[in-house]
Amino acid sequence: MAKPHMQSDPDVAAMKRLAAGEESALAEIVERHKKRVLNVAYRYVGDPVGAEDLAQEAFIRVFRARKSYKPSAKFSTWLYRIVTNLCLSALRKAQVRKAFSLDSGLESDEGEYHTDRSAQENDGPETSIEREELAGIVRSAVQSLPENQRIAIILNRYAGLGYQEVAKSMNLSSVAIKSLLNRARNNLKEKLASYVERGDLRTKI
Amino acid sequence: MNCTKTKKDLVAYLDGELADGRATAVRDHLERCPACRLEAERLSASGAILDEIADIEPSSDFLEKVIAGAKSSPAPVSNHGLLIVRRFAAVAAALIIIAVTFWLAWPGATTSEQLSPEEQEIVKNMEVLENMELLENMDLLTDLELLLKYEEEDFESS
Repeated sequence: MAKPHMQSDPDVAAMKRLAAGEESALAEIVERHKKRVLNVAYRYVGDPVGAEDLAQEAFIRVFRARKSYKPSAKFSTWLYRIVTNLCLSALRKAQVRKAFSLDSGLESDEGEYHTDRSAQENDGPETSIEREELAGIVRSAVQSLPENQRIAIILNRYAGLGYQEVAKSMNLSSVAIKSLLNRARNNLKEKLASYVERGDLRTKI
Repeated sequence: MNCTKTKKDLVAYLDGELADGRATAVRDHLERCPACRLEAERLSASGAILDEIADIEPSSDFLEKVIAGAKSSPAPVSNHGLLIVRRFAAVAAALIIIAVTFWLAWPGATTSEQLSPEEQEIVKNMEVLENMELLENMDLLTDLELLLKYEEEDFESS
């Protein structure tokens, strides 16, 4: 008997159609997930151009694996495992390149790139600069986390995966993920302490 | 629930990932403990800051590039196909190993007792062929003496 998520998951249905040769199903999957996949890749590599290449490659991998995909887990779990593997592989290659050249590789500043400015449209230039500075500090803080903590935070916070899905994506237990995220969030709290203490960022629970 | 246990559960509680009973215990502790309540506020605020990294938008030709990349992909191999290929490779490798083992262990077939009459004739004439090569490379006028000496030695040894 199919699991409830398989019956209602539109991505599972789309993958079945894709495996059967219906290419329009690929467009459906891409349109549904491209923004989030792109931004997860962006959180991993810190470079919008590199993130775009990796995000496209992730969907190409989905297409190539269409006949071997088994919906034993949620599609998003499987998809973000592909994204994570691609991004980590790219980061490792960039580290090797860095060791032998002056190229700053994938973790350089993004330069000009179109961002979602809807949150910034009503801000004055001063606030916009502060926001950009804070975004840079947050990026650095996330990048400085140990790899497993960084992966767990990115999958949970930016890919929107729950603890169980993160566990399946990372092939770890839910208990291990809870511990990883606890440590990651505490590390980030320490690194961002001076910004958290600002009155306008305090959050009531 | 004490502070130590609460702190271990705080992030999961804020993320809504605790089971009901445990979540209730954390909430009750936070109501009574200002220190843990402050800790929860800081964790929540630092979590909110993670959202300060603005999202980026996909390029306008994102889908077209994916489709182009997908169309240039090789034909997919299903799990079943891969399994057949792997089994075939394993069987082929085993057969090669068995064949090589037999070839190495097989007794030599080239002892003189087992030569056919034709093969024996060839071996006998090989000495003639060797002399022929010598003769062809000799300058007859200068090396005649050596040639005569060579024939005498052959005669004496036969």
